[in-house]
Amino acid sequence: MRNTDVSGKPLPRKVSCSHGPIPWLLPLLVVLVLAFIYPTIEVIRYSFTDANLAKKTYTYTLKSYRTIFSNPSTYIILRNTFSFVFFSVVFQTLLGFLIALAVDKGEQMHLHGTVLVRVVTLLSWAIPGSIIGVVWTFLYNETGSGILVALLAKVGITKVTFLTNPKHALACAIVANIWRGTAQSMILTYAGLKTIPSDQIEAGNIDGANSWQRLIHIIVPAIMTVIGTNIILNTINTFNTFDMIVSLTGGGPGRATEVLALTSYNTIFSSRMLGRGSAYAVILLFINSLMAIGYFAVLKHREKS
Amino acid sequence: MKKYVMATVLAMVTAGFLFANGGSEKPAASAKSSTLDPYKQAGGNFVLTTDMIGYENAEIELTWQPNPSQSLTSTMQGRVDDLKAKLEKWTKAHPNVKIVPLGTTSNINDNMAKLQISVVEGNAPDLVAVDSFVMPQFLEYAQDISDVAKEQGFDYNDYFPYIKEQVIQDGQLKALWYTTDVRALFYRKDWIQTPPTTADELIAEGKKQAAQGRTGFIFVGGRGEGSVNNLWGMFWCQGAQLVDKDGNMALEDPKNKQALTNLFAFVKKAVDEGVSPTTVINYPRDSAMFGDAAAGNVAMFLANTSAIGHLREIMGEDEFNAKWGMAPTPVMHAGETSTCSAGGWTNLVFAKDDLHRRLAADLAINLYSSDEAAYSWNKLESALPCTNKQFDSFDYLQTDPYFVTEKGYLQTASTRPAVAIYSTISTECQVALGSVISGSLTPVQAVDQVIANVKNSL
Repeated sequence: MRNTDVSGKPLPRKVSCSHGPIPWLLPLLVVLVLAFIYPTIEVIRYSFTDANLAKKTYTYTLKSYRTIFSNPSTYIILRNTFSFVFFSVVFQTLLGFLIALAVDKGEQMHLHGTVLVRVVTLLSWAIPGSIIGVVWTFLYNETGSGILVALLAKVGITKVTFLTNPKHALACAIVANIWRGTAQSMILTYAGLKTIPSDQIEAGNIDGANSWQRLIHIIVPAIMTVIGTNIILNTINTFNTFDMIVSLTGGGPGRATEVLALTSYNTIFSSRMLGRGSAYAVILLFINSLMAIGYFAVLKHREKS
Repeated sequence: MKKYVMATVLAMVTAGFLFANGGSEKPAASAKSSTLDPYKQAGGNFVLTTDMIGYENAEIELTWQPNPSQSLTSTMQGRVDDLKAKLEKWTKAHPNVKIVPLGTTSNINDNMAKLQISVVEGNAPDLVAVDSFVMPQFLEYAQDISDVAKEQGFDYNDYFPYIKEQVIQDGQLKALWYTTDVRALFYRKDWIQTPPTTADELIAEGKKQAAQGRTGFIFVGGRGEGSVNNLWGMFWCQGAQLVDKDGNMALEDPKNKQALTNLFAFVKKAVDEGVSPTTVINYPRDSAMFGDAAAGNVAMFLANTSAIGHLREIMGEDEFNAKWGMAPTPVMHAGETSTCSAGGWTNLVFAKDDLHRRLAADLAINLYSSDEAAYSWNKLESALPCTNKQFDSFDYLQTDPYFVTEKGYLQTASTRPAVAIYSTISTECQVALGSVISGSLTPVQAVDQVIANVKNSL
């Protein structure tokens, strides 16, 4: 029964704070504004200034972007960044998928050691990037005490260069990053494999599909969303990687392994140029956003079709 | 709906308030400090931890941001013990003062960048350790502490010339430089009779050593300030400058350009002639070379004099003394005067009120700068003191042949230009050095690239 006033007119409905989604979403909104949206807006704002950490005042200008795009080094850095990301993501996803498939198959066959494989793979995920850089520096040591040099020498390969050769250094950094990121791919893919109903696989068996056909026509389509999420996470993580590179090569020799995230960090913290460093960060944000939009567009298209 | 709008507005206003005031408040003691007596006995327990030093109820709070490796959180127990003893003595002599140490990152670049923000915003701690390399950029915000130094009997006019030039501004003492170091050529004295004094001699000696299966000469060649900083001596000795008197890049000046080309050409020659391995690219800092130096196959290396302490720790003092000699950084051409880059750490006082200013300066002098404090501290760090008197009077410096030799280097040492453009020049030179070592650029191309990129960044 609706409440009425003395004249019999219905009273306006009372809105309680405990009703509706807004009170529940408000804390999230506040966190989002404080922790994500505000800093992002600030970075974008600073990118249009000549702000320097040593000065309190700054003016609004497009100079940072002009300087960045007129600097030939920027294109070397962008090329490094895209190569680093592309090869890292392809191999992280592929290796993660293969390891997850092997672990899953091993579990189905009740083989011993599948848990050990998962734990060992996960170890690389638990190690901070800067430590991974140091570990791989030891591996890539080109003196007599280098582990890889010693192993290669045993099979007759001598005079190999790793981080000292600009042509090899980026590939070496990519290998280290693949090692670092494969664990995340493996875990996500493994979780995806566990969601495939066994009757789908059995139906494939009954229809006479061989292992390859089951993989391509049943398993991969069933976990495509997981693989897509995995790819986008790997892409964003790799674009933002700089800690491992700092300890592995510092971006050298020359600029052979310098990536956008490292340039942004160095520009702000070494050169104190907050405006220009922010502009590099905005370019990175723009690329990451494009990747994410592309991914969601592909996903939506797949859902529709 | 109105309520939701109100709640959202309230949240935004609160957020705005937080951002506007975040972390900017000074301790309450600052406001009333002028009426407080630091010598009044405060109540509560005496505490000496990494978070607080002094009596719990002390009314005056002094904020102190030391260099992490020179603080109570240092991993070197000797340093911690030394500081604890000094801090206890000082706070007990000033019972109404409690010191609040502020932790910071051990990454010097990050540390100094964050400090710069707080200094510019006016929120800097009362006493802060600043890397001498960037110290001049903070001087306009630092307090004059000449009066306290005089009262404490600390003769800042006795600083080595390159230090005096920087810490004294218009007769005012703006910083207390408390440790210093220089660059030198270390050589195996059991293999090399006379250390090389010029670049050509170094190459010739290196080739002789390489012919015997040894690594002739190593240096820091990776991306990092240490690489160029160790080599600047060979640039400066040619009478060249990185920046002009107005703080602008001076590398387009033919003399300076040629000097940098000579430096890169020397590096290229060392690599091409097998004196230096290309693996020097993998040394981002001095300490990365020490393992190879101690392993026994390296004939010469160029490093900070703190290498003495490190290598003595690694090899043992007797073995180091027996094997390694030390010589001035070689000059590029015969007849030039050897010079090198000097560094170290300084203490700056940013406290705004007079009481905190005086206390902070007093504390810095008693922890690191006074004769007594500098003696124990520099001995622990294997670093060099900063005044002539301390250098001449500290007994361990008189008996140690390495330290005795270093005083000569200090007299001709220089410091990196403390101007904003330097960090860009340094970064570009590090990049160019790597390209020369790896053979992807010739020395001339490398110098052109440095100039073009620095100009482009302006």
